[in-house]
Amino acid sequence: MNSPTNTADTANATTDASANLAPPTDLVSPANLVSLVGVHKRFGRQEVLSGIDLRLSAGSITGLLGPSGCGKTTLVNIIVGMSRANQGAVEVLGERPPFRRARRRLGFMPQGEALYLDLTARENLRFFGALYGMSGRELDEAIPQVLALARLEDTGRKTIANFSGGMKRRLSLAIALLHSPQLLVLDEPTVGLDPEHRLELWRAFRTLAHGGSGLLITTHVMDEASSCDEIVMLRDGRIIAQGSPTKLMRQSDASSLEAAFLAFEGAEEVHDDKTPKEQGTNSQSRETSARGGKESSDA
Amino acid sequence: MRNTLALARRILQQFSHDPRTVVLFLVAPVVALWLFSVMLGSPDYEPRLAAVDLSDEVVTALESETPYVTVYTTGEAGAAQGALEKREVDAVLTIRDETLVVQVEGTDSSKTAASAEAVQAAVRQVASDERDQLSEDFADTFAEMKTQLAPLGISVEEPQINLSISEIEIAYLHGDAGWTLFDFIGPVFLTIFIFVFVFITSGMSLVTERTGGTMERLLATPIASWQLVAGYALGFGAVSLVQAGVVLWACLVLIGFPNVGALPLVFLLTFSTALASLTLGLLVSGLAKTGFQVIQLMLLFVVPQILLSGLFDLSQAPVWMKVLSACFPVTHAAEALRDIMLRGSDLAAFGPDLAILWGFIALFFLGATASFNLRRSKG
Repeated sequence: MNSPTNTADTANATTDASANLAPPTDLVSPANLVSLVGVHKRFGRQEVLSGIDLRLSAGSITGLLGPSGCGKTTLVNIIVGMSRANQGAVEVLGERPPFRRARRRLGFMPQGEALYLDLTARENLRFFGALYGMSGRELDEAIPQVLALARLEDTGRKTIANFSGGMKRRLSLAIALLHSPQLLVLDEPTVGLDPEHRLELWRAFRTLAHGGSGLLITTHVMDEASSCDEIVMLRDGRIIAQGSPTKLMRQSDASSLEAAFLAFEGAEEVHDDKTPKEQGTNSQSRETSARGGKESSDA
Repeated sequence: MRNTLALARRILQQFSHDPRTVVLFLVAPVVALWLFSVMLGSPDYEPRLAAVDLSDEVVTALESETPYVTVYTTGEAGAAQGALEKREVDAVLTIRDETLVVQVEGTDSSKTAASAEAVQAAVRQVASDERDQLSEDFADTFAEMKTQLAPLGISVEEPQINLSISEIEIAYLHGDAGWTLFDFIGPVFLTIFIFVFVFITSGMSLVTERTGGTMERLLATPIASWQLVAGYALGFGAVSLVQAGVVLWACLVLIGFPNVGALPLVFLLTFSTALASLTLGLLVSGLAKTGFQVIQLMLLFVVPQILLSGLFDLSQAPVWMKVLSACFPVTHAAEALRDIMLRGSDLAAFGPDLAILWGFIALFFLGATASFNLRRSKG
């Protein structure tokens, strides 16, 4: 039903289906940071996520790829505990929702600025640090570190309202990193950054992954996605492909991730056409995927 | 608890970086209350009257009621009418047979009432003068009659003229003759202003949190819903404690609101009002998506409370309106404040109102917490 690469492809996933996925030890081991099985999310009558199976492991960077409106942000919201799935099993850092304790080890950078504009950088950091349970001494140590990483050491008493767009993004990331989380969820972290700083952040992501953290990064910059260890391609609330960038490109016989995405999308369209219940798909995306399919076969 | 304190501290920091808001927060209610005191505290309106061809006695009596009396002769009746149409006078007085006709401009009922009152007082004065004159004339006539009848051996008793009531004296249970409408409505206005100003600030806060995206970040942290609401209540509570203090001080010392009650009780009540507004603001803020909607929700949640709060007397209103009025925190807050400030009541007297007010605070707090819980799970 999902992509052929999805190893966790248990079509009739129920609540205890997680047991079939992997040995039970795997669930409690820190290597499995996030485990979603058969997750559905509906807003009213509209199904935004349908049957998502996803596992994130420690020490790796996973890229979540997909066009806007594909359900990326909804999926992220379920993982960070802002939203609850209607159906399916969710486990984050070994805990089921609302995972009160796991939240302390989870860092989140939302898509927007998500900063208090009338506070200084340090005040923003102190506030969120306190909410993550950091003591005054821990904050005194951690704040200079993340400020250095975000290159915001000299902002002093300046409130965020006077920051540039790039500075705001960097501070937003610094807040997510402050409490050295085991699981870091970043929604479009590098939007609006200059290339030099973008590279710098990716180096930081890699360092965090080497240190044993797991990162989930949503992006639509295909360049960036190729630096991920694992790619999850999402379309219309379903995972259409999953695997390492090279594997995905080989599988789809594409020269770039973009082409690979379009190829998988096209394959999914064909699959959809055979399924009568999916006939509501709009013609616009059919056209795009048809073109995509051609492109990928040319390549 | 730590989370709650962190949130409260953040709110205070935000205020400290924004002196303009702080100043507006303190100055705006004081200015508004001062204007209101000037407006309602002014002496009674003195009507402008046009007297067309009235006797000197009537004109003199009218002039003792209001300094604005213009005298017209019969021929100038048209000019008097014109003055009325141009709203240069409030009423034209003419005499027809024995009837004094008072033609008023009529659109402003308060001016109509003032004109009628002045004319009636003047007429009473004239009548009283005429009665005195009459009894004097009668006494003279009677005395003359008596002297003429005496030689004939007829003796007559002078009849005593006794009026049942000749004087009126007003005694005050509370207050004195110097109290104007302002004094009665003052405590209600104080309540309303504190309520509205705190409501706007707390109602906007969560909207700002949502539009700025920080709500997402907050909801992803380990903070519990009740801690979030408690943090807001604590932070804004501290701010409104200061606001209530400053506004109260300005009202009592600078503007001259009447207060015969104990100051700590007045402060307790003002602060409780602020907390009720704050928790209602947090609850309503959960329903609003934009700042504009906060204003619209204020029109829905606050304006009816203002109208039914005791600003206008509801003792003879329909029952449903009285019931509705009793369902509003502002009504109880205003009534209790009036009890203390005007009647010097103690805690026992307004205790029930205060208890109801705190019931509302608890209710709003739980409601706001529940709405956060809902958002977290349904999101």
